[in-house]
Amino acid sequence: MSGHTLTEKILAKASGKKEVSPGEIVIARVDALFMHSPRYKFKHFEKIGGVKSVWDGDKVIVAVGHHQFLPSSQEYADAVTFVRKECKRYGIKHLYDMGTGNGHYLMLEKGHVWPGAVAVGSDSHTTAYGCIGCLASPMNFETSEVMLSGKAWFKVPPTLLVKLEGTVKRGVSARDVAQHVLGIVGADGALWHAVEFDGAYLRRLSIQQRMIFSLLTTEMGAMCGMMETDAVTLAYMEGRSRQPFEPVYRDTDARYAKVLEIDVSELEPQIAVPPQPSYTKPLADAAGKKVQQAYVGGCTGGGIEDMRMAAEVMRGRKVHPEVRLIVVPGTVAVFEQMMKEGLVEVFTSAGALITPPYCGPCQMICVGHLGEGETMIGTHPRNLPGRAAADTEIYLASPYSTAAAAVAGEITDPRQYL
Amino acid sequence: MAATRGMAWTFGDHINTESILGSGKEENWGSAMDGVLAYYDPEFSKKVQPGDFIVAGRNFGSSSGRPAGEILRSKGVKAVICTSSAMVFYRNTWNIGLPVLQCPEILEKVQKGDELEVDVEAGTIKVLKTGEVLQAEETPWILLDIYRQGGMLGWIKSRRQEYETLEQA
Repeated sequence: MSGHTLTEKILAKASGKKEVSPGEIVIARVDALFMHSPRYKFKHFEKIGGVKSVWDGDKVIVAVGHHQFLPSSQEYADAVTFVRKECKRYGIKHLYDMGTGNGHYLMLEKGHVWPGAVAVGSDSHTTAYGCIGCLASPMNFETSEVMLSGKAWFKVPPTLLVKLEGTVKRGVSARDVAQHVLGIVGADGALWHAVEFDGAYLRRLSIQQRMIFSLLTTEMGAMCGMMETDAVTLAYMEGRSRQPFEPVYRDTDARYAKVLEIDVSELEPQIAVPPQPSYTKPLADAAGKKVQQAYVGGCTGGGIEDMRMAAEVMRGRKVHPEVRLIVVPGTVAVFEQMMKEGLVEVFTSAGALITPPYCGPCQMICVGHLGEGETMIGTHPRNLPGRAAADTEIYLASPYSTAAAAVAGEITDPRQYL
Repeated sequence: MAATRGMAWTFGDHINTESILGSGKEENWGSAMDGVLAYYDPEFSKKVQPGDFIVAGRNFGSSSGRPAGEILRSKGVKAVICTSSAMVFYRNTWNIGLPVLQCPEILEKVQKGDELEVDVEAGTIKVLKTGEVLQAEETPWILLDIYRQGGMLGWIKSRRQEYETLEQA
């Protein structure tokens, strides 16, 4: 009998089974449920009738400030007012309101998830929390049912193991590596799979930088993107976790559907070209493309290190006169750290615009819409048709490359500014 | 539930949910009803008939987890049959009460405008012009249970006594 992967072991534990195997349907207890726009789920409650409360008000987290830092319309204001009222009515204890930040960063920062936990969320990027060894998977419509039962079903996935070894060159960031992996695996290369990451390169990264990898597994079609708990994880969790936890480790003889070994040492800056996050190319292939908007932030670029990388390029330089550079801190804590380190001044004196913390103009639903025919480069996860107006183009790259494009007015190798 | 007949609308690989239901339109469909899948086939939204089927390639419904299946159901679509479906779209759409069948050979055997007879319970797709019957992959038992109750809301109501969070009659 062979051993089990991290994903299999967490699913077995959460469903009260000795072991589980790929293909099996299991019903697992849920430790955290994340939602940003639960309005229609409360409408479901009205249709069901007689809902007394959610199963555990401490385990339901609503981040109404995720998509908008202030309501951009009457309709949104009314929706948020309704959600606040309903959270109270059903005993939901954690509501992150306008201006508090991007929900995915908040889930980690505020200790709502921990190693070995099972989390589900209505946002497709809920895979994010896998970076601390939590099994985190997106589901949307069904979160109404999870709110009532505290359980969710899963089809135990086959697992793809990605091992990242080596040391990156100067000017190449975690986003470049994650983008490279996404390009190799492809938009459905991990469909209905778990992806587990490991390797010396990965283990040297901070939790916020590891999150780029776990979060982007959604763009490969994955159910979850996992990493084992290590000293970095335990240090991050110190004083943060809302519950004592027992990390789960994979068996040394775990069985993987596929193993991918990647040496990052020779990797050059990468870029995703429209219209798929997985269309990864060397950045050099897109060099010279004019941009009108550059955006540092989003679920894969709103961490403090992302801000530092962008600031390193911007220090002493100006945003190109035909470009708008929008900087979006992931959370208030990231914003405060930026102030302490003098990064806010670097950005404002360069002519960048800093918004309050939120998810940013990754979808054009709060501010920062693209005009017809415009091109944006950003550190966010997606560039698909329908996320901005027709006849616009979105490129995805590292904070270095995004800031470099803001300076040059076109996509360019960031290393000339470092 | 008996097999139903309808016409096939074909699409390629990696059709994302944003191209079905655009960002920010989740709660106010408005113009979204005219823009469903328009990026890939501008005719679809204007000419789709109640009872028609969507036939697509790999990874249908990728990207955002918004319940885009709801707008497809409102357009009259009776089932989605694809080579493979993105996970959240698949789960959402069955929970809405709209079936998604994964059938690896579907795009090789079906062209736009072909008439199909689909039996959701059996997971079979009959291509009427050739008479060939295709078998979809097995649907998780829990989703068939949910489907038989008309979707998640009906399923919850039918098992009301299992929820401590609900008032009991």
